[in-house]
Amino acid sequence: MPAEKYDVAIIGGGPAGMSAASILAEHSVKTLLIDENGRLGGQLWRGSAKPAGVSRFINPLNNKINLAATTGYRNGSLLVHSPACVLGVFPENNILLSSKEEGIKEVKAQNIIFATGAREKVRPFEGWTLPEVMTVGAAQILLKNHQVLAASEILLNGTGPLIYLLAGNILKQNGRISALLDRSTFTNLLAATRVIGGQLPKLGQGCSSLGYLLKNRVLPKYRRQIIKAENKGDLIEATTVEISSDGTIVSGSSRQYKTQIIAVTNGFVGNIELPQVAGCELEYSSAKGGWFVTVDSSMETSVNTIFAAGEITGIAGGDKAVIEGRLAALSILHQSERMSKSDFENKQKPLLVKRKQYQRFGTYLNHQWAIPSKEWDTIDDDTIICRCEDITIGKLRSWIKTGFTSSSVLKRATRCSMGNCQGRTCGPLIYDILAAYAPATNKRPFSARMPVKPILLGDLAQVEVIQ
Amino acid sequence: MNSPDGVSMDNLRVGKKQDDRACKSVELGKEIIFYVNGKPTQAYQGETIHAALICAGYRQFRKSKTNQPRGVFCGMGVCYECLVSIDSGPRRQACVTLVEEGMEVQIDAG
Repeated sequence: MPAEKYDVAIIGGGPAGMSAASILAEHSVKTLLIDENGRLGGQLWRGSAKPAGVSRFINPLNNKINLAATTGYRNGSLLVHSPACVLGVFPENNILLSSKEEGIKEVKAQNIIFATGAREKVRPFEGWTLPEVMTVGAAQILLKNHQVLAASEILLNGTGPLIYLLAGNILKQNGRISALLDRSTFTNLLAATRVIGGQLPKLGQGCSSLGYLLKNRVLPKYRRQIIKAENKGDLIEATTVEISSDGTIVSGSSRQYKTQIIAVTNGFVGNIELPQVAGCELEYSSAKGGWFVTVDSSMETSVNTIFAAGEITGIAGGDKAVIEGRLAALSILHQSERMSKSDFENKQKPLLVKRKQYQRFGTYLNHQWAIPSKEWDTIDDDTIICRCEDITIGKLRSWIKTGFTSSSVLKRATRCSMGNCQGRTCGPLIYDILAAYAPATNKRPFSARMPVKPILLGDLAQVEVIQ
Repeated sequence: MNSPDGVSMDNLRVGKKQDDRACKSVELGKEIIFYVNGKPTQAYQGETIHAALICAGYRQFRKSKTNQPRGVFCGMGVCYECLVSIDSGPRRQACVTLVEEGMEVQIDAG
């Protein structure tokens, strides 16, 4: 079976992927845009929920997308394959795809742009596995994509702008907020205004949410962290404490809240698994939110012809992702001689300046989100870290103490990260735990293997090998 | 906690009555019926199973390896906590699978 061939395959249809797609479409580059959701836009833009369809030319719905994507649709250069999941990327840019409609198939592209986005990170506590505890993103998706308030009463805890945005949205929908607990401090919030720099819209968004909070007399409490959630009949009881900046608990600061649903967030980590499978070099930086894909100023990874854009090159939000998507697309146009060197450099230069600005904002946020290493000491032994295999922090600590100080040996000893999510949820926590208890050990992420998402063996057995 | 009565229906889907920026992008499809452990349940075409289940008041979707209750966590296809059985087939993620008319969803809420 001959593989479908494309000039460019973009994996991920969020801000980075769609920005790249719109530039490539403008230049009639034969592009395949693959997204695992039935709607484009990623977790940030979220196009409206569209019934599943496959291999159809569509007009990306989001108004934030340059109309050039529509041009691509009209001139037939852009093909959108969604929902479809990429299971692996092999040498010579062979991509293994899985979708409900077409089963598993392989496609080939001269260039690949990884724009796989980020997922949320949550600071674990006793009871964070209860069905009544979800991420802020999950509550936001229910509200924005499905008009569903997770419950009439919600407690929010975490750091960063997202908790304020969600709080504002809950209040707009006449939901109640049991408490708004910000792990950060008010002074830190003020400091944000300095790094926001040229990003006035962001400040405006923040003020609009704060306005809603003030109107509804919801005042955030600072430095608070949930340490325990318990099911108390009809309601969930959250025990919270004040955390000082070094990660220790302020004595006598314990306070209980009752609520229906708890929404939590402690920042983001990049979805680096596919670039990792493709052999792209990774680096670790707490300023960039953990493991990220190394790229040069063309957004090219350590593997020739493979590019990365957006959160996977360092967590900094949607604005940086848009810039990087454009940069990657322009680089491909230049490298394939569709764009002159001078034209490319003229377009690249201002984008690189903006990228730097957004990266500064990202560094500030990642610093806010970081969990101080001493704080891991305050977490009780029976708190689950790996939710798929139910592995507790006590078990991890005791293995680390006996010398199992790298992620891969810890995995083999305890089965942590070997469940369905393949370490996506617990991985970033385990990297933190290893850094706290075995700081001298060389950092390495869990290895990622094809298929990067679980599939049925029967489906895999039906793949025809491309010669 | 897991009974559908745990959530007041008055406060669910309030967004659709309002012209609100947060919800403007949402177009609800036509009303359909699917089944949760055999019980007929309302949903809208084009929405995910997890949204329909949460809306109907279900929180626990399954049990973990050590028999602990689990439900929606990441809501975006990452964590695999919301696995449910569909039409007696293998378990799938409720948060990325669209609900369909007549679909039979089995959850482990016991």
